[in-house]
Amino acid sequence: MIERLLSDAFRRYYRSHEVPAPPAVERREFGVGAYGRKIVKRHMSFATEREFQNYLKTNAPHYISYSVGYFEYPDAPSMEEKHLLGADLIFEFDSDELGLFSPNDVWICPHCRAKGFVKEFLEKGKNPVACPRCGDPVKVIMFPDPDREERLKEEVDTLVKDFLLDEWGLSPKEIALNFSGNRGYHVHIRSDAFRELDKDARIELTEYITGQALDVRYFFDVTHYPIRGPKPSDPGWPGRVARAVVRALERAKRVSDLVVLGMDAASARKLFHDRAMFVESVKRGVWPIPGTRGEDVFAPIQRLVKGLSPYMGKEVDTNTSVDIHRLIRVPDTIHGGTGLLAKRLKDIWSFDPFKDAVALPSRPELEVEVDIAPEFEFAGETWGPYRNQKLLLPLHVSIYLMSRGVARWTLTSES
Amino acid sequence: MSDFYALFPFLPGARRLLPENLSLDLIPEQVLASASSRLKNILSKRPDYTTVLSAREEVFHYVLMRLLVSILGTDYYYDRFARYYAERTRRQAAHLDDFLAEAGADPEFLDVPTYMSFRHIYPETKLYHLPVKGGQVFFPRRLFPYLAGTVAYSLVRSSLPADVSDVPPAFKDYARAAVPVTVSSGPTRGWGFVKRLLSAEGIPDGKKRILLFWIIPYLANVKGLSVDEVVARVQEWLSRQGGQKVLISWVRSDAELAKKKGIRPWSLKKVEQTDPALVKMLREMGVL
Repeated sequence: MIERLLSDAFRRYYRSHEVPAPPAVERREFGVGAYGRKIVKRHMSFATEREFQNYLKTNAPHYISYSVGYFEYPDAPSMEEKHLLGADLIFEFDSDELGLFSPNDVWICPHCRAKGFVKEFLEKGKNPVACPRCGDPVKVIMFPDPDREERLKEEVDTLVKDFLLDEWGLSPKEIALNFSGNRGYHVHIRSDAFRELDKDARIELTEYITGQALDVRYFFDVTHYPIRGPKPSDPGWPGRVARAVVRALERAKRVSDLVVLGMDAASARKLFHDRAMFVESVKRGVWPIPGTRGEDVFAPIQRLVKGLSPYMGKEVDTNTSVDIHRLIRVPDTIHGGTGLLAKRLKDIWSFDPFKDAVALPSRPELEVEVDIAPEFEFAGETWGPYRNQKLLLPLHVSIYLMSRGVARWTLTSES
Repeated sequence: MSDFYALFPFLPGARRLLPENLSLDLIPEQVLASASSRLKNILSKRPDYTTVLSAREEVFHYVLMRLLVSILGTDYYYDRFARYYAERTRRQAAHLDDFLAEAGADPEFLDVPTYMSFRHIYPETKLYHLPVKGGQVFFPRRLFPYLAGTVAYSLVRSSLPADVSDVPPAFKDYARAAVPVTVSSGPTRGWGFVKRLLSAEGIPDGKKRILLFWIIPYLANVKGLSVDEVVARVQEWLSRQGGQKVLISWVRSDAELAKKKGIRPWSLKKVEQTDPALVKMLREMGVL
């Protein structure tokens, strides 16, 4: 029933909106999904943009994804037969992977079914990790939060401006940005120069962005005394690390600020007192690092690296960037789970996903049983808070709450 | 100067050392045989004693080896040939500035996509450890040898495969002679051909079929190895071959199936009937 309701709404949307096909549509493999299953059929292809649009209008799939790869025979049944010609490079940003918790989020324990708001944890200075009742790991359900959105946009902006445009020298035309339709953003790099890179090259490029495999010892020349190292004005990661060290020293108000970076107390004390001289020296590429025998003097610098990547040092799933056979949501199509549009963005800062990407209509209204939901903004209105309530809500909010796993549809009202 | 081109015979300037109106028909058998045997050393990663040759001979050898490796016609061999010159270039610290100038490469940087296409030559120079700005990868002085090696690789690789349409037929035999196949000393009857396959190197295509038809059933049910041993042996074999990756999970499931059902290796005759292209390719490589 819900499937039919959604299919009708999707069809109405696709009939009134022309969705542009991805570039080089004839070289892409497509996959479509139904309610609750992102891919039920793949190895599909469309010869033209018109064919693709007609498919959306006729079939209104709940999910439609396309390959990051370009194939000679995109509809061939196996990857070998498709004959890969190249692939876009995609970076995915999801707020849940980056661990950006908001007091507005809801936690649920899958084991004992206890639930509550994340602010209960945050007020105690804890992260929502273990259920306070049974100790099992909890599941955090994220709700719209303007601060988190700002933070996520900042990270995407850093990736695009600092890494892709400034360092990799890409032109803005080679970068496409879209909302994922759920919790984050996708950055597509469609540069001819990067298209033919193999999997290993993609892993290295992804590591460049995450900073995960970076070893700061490569930046230093220990054959000189004092050690020679990067200057803040240097390009790439060496300069970024030098700037971070200078920033950390300039912000340090007490010795303990350096100790938390992993320095031993004696070295931290010495460095804190001489920090002005140290900063001046680093600006010239000379690093008079105080260190005691046997101590890894680069460990505190290595620790700083974590916070410098757009992924904030988090262990993110980079499969999307590395896997050249991956299917990814077609921009400007509806995410069947949330009812939000995977909208192409020209300016990320003026985009509000919970207002601008709402694709479903408000009618019909559905009667839903909401377990728990905070007060949140959606489709330009404020909803909630709800706790164990039966409500009549517009279609878009109902679907959104159901996708979060905090509501169930009980029956349809034809109001 | 002659030493310089002996070290870098692939540089554009080295071409002027070649005689004008060079005719491949007039090349003495002895020179061709020596180039073929050098190529065999290069392809099998054996030491290559080149210092005795003059610059002119080196350039001449390079041209011949380029033709021979083009006749072999596999990416794996092109890569190995280019890597040989990359490594040789990396070691010539005294000539690096001259080399980069002659190669027309900027001695300080490469653009990111070019660097990423050739960075597998020296994976120790990871992109995130180098200064990157405006789409250019800057090389600190200490990494110049790596930069030179990368440039050498790209120069050699970009000239491969060479046009072999006018090459005399005798070259084909010398090309085949350069294929680095170590044939086992075991009996040539029975499963001798599977042993040859097991000792072969640089097979670029058909690896999965070779494993499926012969190697996995042979190891599992003729040699009686356990599944883990089969997987380890196949992994070692795959590391010596070219072309695309074969998933180990696939190898394991195939070994388990072969073990469970007691599948024996197919005879050469049967494979020749069902997959003549595979047998033809292996014969052309000199493996069978």
